[in-house]
Amino acid sequence: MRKLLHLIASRRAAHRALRFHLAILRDESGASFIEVGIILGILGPLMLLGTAGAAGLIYAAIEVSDSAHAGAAYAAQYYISSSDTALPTSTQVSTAAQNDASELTAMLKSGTNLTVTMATGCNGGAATAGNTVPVCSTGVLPYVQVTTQATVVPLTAFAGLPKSISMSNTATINLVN
Amino acid sequence: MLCGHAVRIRCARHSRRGSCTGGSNRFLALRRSRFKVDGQVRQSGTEARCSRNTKLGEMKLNESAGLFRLAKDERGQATIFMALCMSTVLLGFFALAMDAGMLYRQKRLVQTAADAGALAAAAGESSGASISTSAQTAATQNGLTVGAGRGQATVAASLLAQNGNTGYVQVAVTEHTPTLFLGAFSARFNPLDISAVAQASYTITNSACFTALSQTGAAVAGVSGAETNGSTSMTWGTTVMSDIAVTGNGQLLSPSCGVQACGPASEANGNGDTAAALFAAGSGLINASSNAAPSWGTDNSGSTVKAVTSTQACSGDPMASQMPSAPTPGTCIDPSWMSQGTAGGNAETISSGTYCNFNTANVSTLTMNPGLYVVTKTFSTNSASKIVGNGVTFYLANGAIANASNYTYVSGGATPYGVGNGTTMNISAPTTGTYAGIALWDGNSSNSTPDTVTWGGGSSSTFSGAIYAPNSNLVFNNGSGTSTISSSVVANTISVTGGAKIQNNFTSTGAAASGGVNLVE
Repeated sequence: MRKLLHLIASRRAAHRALRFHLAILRDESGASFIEVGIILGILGPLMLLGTAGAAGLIYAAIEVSDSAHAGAAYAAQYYISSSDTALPTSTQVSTAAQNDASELTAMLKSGTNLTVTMATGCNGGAATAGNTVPVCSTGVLPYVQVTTQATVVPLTAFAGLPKSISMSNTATINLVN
Repeated sequence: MLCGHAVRIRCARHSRRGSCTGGSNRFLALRRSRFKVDGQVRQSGTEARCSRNTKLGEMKLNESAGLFRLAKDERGQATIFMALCMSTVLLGFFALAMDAGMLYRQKRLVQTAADAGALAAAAGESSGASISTSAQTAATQNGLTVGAGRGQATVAASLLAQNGNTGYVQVAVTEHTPTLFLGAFSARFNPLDISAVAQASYTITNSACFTALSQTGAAVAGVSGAETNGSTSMTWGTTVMSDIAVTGNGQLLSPSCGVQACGPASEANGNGDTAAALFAAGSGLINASSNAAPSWGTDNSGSTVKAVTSTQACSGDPMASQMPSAPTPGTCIDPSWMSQGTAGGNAETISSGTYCNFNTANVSTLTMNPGLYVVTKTFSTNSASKIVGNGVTFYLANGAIANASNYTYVSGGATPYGVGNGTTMNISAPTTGTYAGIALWDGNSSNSTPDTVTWGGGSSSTFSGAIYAPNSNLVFNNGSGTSTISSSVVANTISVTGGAKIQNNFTSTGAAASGGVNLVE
């Protein structure tokens, strides 16, 4: 009988323990904190990654446009120092532009590079690719045009969004002395 | 019911310990008051104790009304609340980040356009083109649309104060940039104005210190016999039409800059020539620096240039684009001594204003206060006068009446002005303001009836500032002392006769190959 009572008691104890655990599971106090945590844990990083990714793309766009400006400025400066007789080669302009955008390298799609093209022309006229010093009529300024193009990989990849984005910018500077 | 459940569980848990009083009950009460929710306590063991705490509200919930219970069910509201929070507040931040980033990028593009615009405007200014048009062209080339509308950019170019031979132009580009999201907060944020300012310098490349604009020249006496110009033997007609003529023992020296004459053309190797852009006869000397362009009349050896034909197209009036609009004469304020004359040669001081007949006939020393002096009728000085003025600009108005009393040379023009024999005239132009750098400005409007501005024999003058008389003939007469000029001289024609010596010490810092256009800001 004692054993039986003991058994019953132990079973009751086990039952109590079980109910205690069930009670913890059913305890809903603090549930909203958990919900907040889950939402924050899921949406927060998503938003953060998205924002960071967008900011990264914008940064890359700034780099691309700045490098075009640097390339054109280099060409214009070269023109002055050569006494208005020569423009740098495309390779030189390309180097100048790439030097300006060295931080961009890590963001580029693998296997691609910052491509730089240059063209020249006279104000009001179309540009001709290459580094020929344009011969303009009196009173018309020549210009150099540098276009930079880069294929950038976003920081985060989301389904439905492009895996790489191509961006380019053109800077035009008058050749003056 | 979320909170009600919480209460029930609490109750049940604590009741198992045999007590629902003390701390637990206070906790219970706190929970109730916080959530203002009735808890329904079903477990008999806890009902009695908890019912004390449920007195605050009634528990008359009909549990069979499922839909109603669902509506009252507050479980999951934090999820919805947080999702809403996320989608508004965080999306707002996201939008801000996106727009701010885009604006930063746009700022770089606008700055690029401003830089290019400033360079183009500086080049335009130094070559006579409009600074506004040049800057706007450059902005357009860099992808901006000039205009006041949304997404367009206003491009404003302005000239800044000069510093010596360096001029500055400033270009301000303001783009009315559309924003992606910020407009949702306030219309003020869409579009947003993004501005960039750039300044460029240019060297005032007025490298021809003496410029004679006439295409036909003025008549001077020719030279008999053959002259040699280098290896070329030339003979002249009795009259030679020339833009810049130096005869007798006259000298026109321009050691640091060039001499430019726009015509007339002459036969390079002909005989009996009657025209030369530059003409030096007898012992006359024209000597200009070869380092400055245009280089007509260059003679490095210092030997006399006999005659030079324009070999390049005349680049025209180098100062036209820099000149302010002509001043409007006011009421004449001639002091009585100008018209009546007082014996004794007094020292006088005058202030800026309009003078009908500027006459120093009875003045020993005339001190001129700084400012603009507009002369509407005649300008003449007495032989013994000394005229001193710092920061002074003379403007000789168009259509003045001739007064030939104190000058000796009149050629063709209806309106001669003169600096009398032996007059010493020391004038320095203002360095700032509208008329900066201009010492003497003849406003005659047509070169078909040129004025004649004469420096009489023996006069010795110093001009620190430009002499701008595009429709006037400048004549430096017999025996003039050395007249020193430290700026550009622009005239219809220039004639140096007899022993007059005119030297221009103006140093143009810009060589032909480099006009010194630089981005400075």
